[in-house]
Formats: sequence, C-alpha cells, structure tokens
Amino acid sequence: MRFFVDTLSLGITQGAVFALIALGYTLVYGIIELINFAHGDVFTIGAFIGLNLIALFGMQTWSPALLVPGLILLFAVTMALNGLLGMAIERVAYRPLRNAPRLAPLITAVGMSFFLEGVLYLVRGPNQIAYPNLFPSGSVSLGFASVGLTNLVIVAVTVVLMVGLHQFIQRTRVGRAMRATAQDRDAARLMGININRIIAITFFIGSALAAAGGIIYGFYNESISFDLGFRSGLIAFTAAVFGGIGNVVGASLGGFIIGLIIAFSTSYTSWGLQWADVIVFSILILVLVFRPTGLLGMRVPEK
Amino acid sequence: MGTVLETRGVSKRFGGLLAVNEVDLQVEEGEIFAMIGPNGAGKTTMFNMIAGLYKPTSGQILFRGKSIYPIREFWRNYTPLLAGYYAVADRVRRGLGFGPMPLALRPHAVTTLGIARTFQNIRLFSFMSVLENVMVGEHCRMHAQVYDSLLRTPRAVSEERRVQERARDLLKFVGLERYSEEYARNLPYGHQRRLEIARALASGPRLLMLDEPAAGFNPQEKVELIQLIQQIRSQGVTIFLIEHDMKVVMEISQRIVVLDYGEKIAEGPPEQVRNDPRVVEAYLGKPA
Repeated sequence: MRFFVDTLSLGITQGAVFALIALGYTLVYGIIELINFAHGDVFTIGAFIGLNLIALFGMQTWSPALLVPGLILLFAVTMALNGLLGMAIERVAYRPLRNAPRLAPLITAVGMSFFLEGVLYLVRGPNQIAYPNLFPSGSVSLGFASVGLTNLVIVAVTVVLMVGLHQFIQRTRVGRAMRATAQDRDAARLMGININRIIAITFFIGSALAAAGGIIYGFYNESISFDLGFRSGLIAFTAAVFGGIGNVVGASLGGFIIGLIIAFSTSYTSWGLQWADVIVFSILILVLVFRPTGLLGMRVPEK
Repeated sequence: MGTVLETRGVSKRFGGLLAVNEVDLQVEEGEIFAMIGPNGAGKTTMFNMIAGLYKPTSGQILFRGKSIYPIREFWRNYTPLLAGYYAVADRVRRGLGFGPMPLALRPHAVTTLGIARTFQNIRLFSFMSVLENVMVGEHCRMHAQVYDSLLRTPRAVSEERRVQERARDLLKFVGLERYSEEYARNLPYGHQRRLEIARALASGPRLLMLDEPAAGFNPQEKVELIQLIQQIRSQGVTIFLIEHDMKVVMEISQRIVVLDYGEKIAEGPPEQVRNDPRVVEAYLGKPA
C-alpha cells in the first residue's frame, strides 16, 4: 500500500509538470494551429530563470516566514519573464510567417528549439546543475502511507494555476477573445479583436505556465540540465495530444494521466525504467491512430 | 446629415482579375443603402475592403470624412504619437527605393472606428454560447486588460457585468433572449443570422454592413428581417447591405447602387434603378 501511494504521488507530481507544459502546447495549437516545438526549451529556460533568481537573492537561506511571499514573487517574476520570452519568440519566429503555408512556422519552431537549446548549452554547459528545493520537505502521514509535503504543494500550485487559467479563458474579456480567435480568426478580427495581440498573450500565458512547470521540476528533481526540455517537451506534447490538442482541460488531464502511466510502469515492472519513453510514445501513436481528437477533443474540421 | 462612408475610385485586382474597378460610393448618414449586382460583381470584395480585410489596389476609402486608406491619414488622425514612427519608416523605405510604407488599417481598428459587418456565410463562433458571441462583439468597447482579469479589479468586474447586461439587451432586441445559453451552432439558421446582426451591433457601429442578410429566408422571416433592419436604422445606425432578394431591397433601401463586373453601372432610388436598362441587361442578359 505504501508503495502504491508513493507511486501515485510520484505520478501525479510528475504529471503536474507535464500538464503545465502541455497547456502551452495546447493553447498555442488551439489558437494558431502550430505545434510550438520550441515550447519544451522555453520550459527549460523557465527553470533556469527561476534558478538564477533564487541564486541572485540567496533564497535558499531565507527564513520560512519570508519564504512564502518570496516563493509567490519568485513564481510571478519567473513566469512574467518567461512569458515575455515566449512573446518574443512568437514575434520573431512565427508572426512573420502567419500567412505562410503551415509547414513553414513548424520548421522555424524546430529551429527555434535548437537555437534555445544551443544557447543554454553555451551559457550553462552540458552538466546537470543542482537546484534547491524551496518547497517544504517532510511528509504527511496517512497511517497506511505517507505523502511528501513537496508533492502536495506542487499539486496545489498546479491546480491553482489550472483553475485560474480555465477561469481566465472562460470568464474574461481577453479569454473570450482568445476563444473567438481560435474558432475563426477573420471573424474575430472583424469583431474588433486585435488578433496579433491575442496571439501574443496566448504565447505569454503558455510560456508563463511552462516557467511554473520548470521551477516545480527543479524543486522536485533537484537538478536540471540544458536539454531537459527535449524529453519533457515531447512527453508533454504527447499529453496534449492524448487529452485532445487544443483543449485546455484535456491537456491538464492528459498530463496527469501520462505522469501516472510513467510512474506505474517504472515502479511496477522491472523493465519500466528503460522502457518508459517507449510506452509514452506508443500511447502517442495509438491515440493518433484510433482517436486523433484525443480524450476530450471535439475540434471539428471546418473550412 | 453627412456622408458616413465614401469610396473614391476604389479598385481591387486579384492577379489578372479586376474584381472592383474605380468604384465611387457615398453612403449618407441614417440611410439604408443597398448594393446589388449579379454573382461575382465584386460586392463582397467591396465589403472586405471597407472592413479592412483587403487592401484596395488603388483608391481611397473615407469613413466619416477620414481616410481609412492609405494609412498615413490614419496615423495622423488617430494616433498622433505614432506619426513619427510612420514618417521615419516611410522615409527609409522611399530612400531605399521600396516605395511608400504600405501599411493598412487593420480590421480590428476599422471595427473600433465604428464599422461592423455580418457575413454572407454565417461565421459565428460556433462553440461559444449565444450570449458570449454577442459579448465578443463588444470586445473593442471594453478596456479590461490581462492584469485586470488576473487581479479581478473592480473595473474589470463591473465592466464584465455591464457588457453582459448589454449583450442580453441586444439579444432581446433581435428576439433571441431565450437561447442565450445555447451553443451558437445549435441555433436554427434564421436565428443564426439574427445573432450575427446582434453581434455586429454589439461593437456599437455607426455603419452596419450586412452581407446578404435575407439569404435563405422564407417570406415570413424576410418580413421580420425588414422590420429589424428598420428598427436598427431608427436607432441612428446607417445600414449598408448587399442583397439578392429584390423585394427586400426595393422595400427597404433609400438608394441602391448596382455593380456589374466590378463596375458601378447605376445608382439611385429603387424605382429609378429598377427601370434602368443597363441594370435589367446585367440581370437578364438583354433588354427585356
């Protein structure tokens, strides 16, 4: 039982990170039908920005009383900076190709991914870099098992961000404009929506969520490296497809499910550790073959 | 009563096809102005140019006396701060031999100026509720920014409430208040057309452009549509419509312009246009 609960909490925590990245894929796909392959590296950069800020302010040594507002600020500032990075990427790599054939921005996305990874490699080198965990350590006992406090905080932060995003999209002026732009770009423009702005905001939000995922990843795994975004990005992409790409709730759900699948296959089978990626990408293939719209996808082909 | 919309020698060329050729139009404030013509005459192209989706190949479009094209005037009239940027970019381009800066007023800005439109093929946001569709129309009249929404500032909250109320009023006006929570795509066809009109009205236009509003309507629906259009006009909105149904056009419009092969072939009050030999020829092939 203890082992099962451990696996469950591992899966959900890892899934939270995948879900946060997957949201960025799905938001961007939803609005401009582009698979933003650079998103995984945006996630890595988010983790590095967080690390730099922690080092800059020496946050490892802060007292717990100071740490709570400090962490909120850390998340806010990192998310904002990474969001601006996402907007900048959109501006230079995707907007000039807005009316080009679909394949063109896809290629620049791959190129942008290599570029970001290269820059990270040059700046931070090829090694694993230690990351402090500023979330409370220790665990809560449930009697039959115990759950790490870090895991609980991670899930709480993730759920808050997801609910916030959902409310933002469903309830606010800009969220409504995002949905309108996703459904019919020209009609949205003619309703007075500045679609370039809305698309930029979408990139901002996606990258900000990836930054939150990056910090959480760092806290949980206590080390990061320059090529982190490659694997995590692809797995998160699988999660987004699994949940139904373009669908925000689906991406969250997909992230958690993929995290659980990885955790259970690695913990309960002797070969799982080596084969985790094979399992994940087999799922991607199966989903694409048998249910291309994903779990919750309901995008209908129009046009 | 001034001129709301004026086009001066507007042309649009798509490759080798001259879709619109030197068309001059004047839409006067408070009137119902119709544009008719056989299929492919360039009517929707005119609409798209006025709405800012296409850039005219040549000619000028003026809205309430101010030029929408070329953009130069736009910068001067609406964003004096950016005029400097435009002037510098323009000079650099000319200096390098690229010609004048080819900026166009983007469609959302045209809507903000006060021109709203509906579409020939219904283009509602099908996976949004009827109410939300109308609220999207109000987007350009709202001010809440991303941070307002995130922080739930009182401004954003009260604005959201106000906009929702206005959207409900508009739905009541077009007679769709019962369906406000339905997905737009689940509405019957006639209701979808009315919803498009409500959505366009939500942006608070001075000029409402309707692209074939009566297409696919039965006689009863046409009568209701005519009433609706007249009600809108009585609220001070100028109407500019494209319509194929002659009965509707003749009944509601004060003035009609006829396009054929991209050229204006007639203009005037309904009786005059109806009896114009060139119009009859364009529609029937030879003088009847």
